[in-house]
Amino acid sequence: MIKLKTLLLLVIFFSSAASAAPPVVEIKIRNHLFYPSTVSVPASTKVKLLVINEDNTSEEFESYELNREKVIMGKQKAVIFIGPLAPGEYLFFGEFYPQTAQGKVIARQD
Amino acid sequence: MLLNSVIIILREVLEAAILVSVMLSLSHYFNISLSWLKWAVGLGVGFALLYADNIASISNWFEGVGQEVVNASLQYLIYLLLAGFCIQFINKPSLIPLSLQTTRWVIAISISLSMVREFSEIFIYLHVFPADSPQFTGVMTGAFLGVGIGLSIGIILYHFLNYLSDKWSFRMTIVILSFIAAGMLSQATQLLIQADWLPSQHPLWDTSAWIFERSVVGQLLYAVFGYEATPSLMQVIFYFVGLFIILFFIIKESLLNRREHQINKPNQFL
Repeated sequence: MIKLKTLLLLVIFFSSAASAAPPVVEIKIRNHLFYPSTVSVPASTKVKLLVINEDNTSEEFESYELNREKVIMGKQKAVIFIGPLAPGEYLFFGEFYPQTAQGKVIARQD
Repeated sequence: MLLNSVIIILREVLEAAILVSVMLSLSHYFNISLSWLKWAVGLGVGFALLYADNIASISNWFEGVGQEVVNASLQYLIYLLLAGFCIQFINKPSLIPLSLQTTRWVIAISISLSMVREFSEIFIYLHVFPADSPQFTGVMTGAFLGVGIGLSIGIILYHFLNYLSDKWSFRMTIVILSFIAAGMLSQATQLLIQADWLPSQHPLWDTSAWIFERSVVGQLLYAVFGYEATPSLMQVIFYFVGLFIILFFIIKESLLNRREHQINKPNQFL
């Protein structure tokens, strides 16, 4: 019975620690450009990117460095988790309009 | 815009073309009729259109990660179908318990599932540039070129695999198919990491200095072997476990077959 209580306390402790939400970073797509085009995130942390496509047409958020790829329809939002990232720069682009839609994520060690 | 269109379309067509080529080559070797091809393409294109049409609402499922969950599910399913196929077909046709009908359906379904994901992205991309947009000509020209290049590579692969089967062993094609299956697992795992359904970690290695993913070689290796320049530990685990499971059963079946090679059963595929 004592073991069960300890187990329960451990589960509650770890689940509350796990539910600490990752930081959210917003990136807007407007006229096939990213706003902001440079985004800073803490290194070695999972980060939630919220990409908001304000254009009418769809775009694909893609990054080889971050290993992320997602289609975002016009006037839609997309959730993309990145990280944990080593300190450095990670490029991303809009695959449908790569000449203009370019950006980077900078992971900084705090 | 034209070059960009070529690359986007080629990437998607290449993945489908490679799987189709492998299955065409194996069908040629095992004398399986190609009736599965029309079903594969028909279902693939049909469901891809349906998926593309509903992508906005699907993306909102599961708190915004519906796209990742659906795509990953498709790829896990393709892995299971291809793994089962590899294990069945490592031996000569006379010893395969699977019926011809079932075999054709397994091939058709695995190919159409992969086409759903790949072709839906093509449809979504082309939809961005309707006939009255200034980039339409460039995009459509690039699309035709991309399809042409992808099909050409598929045809070359088909003939190369036939050559391998004739001169060496059809088992090489089965091994290549198991790599393709493992690549599906790795991609699916990456999607679930992107969706935060699987834990994320630092990349295990970075080989982008040797083979950059965006290069032609990188894309080919990605399509056939599931090459990733910066894979996470979870992806690597899924890839190699998935590959070893297939190879283990393939070797086991091969050894069993060798011990029982005196058994004569009528060849059900002729």
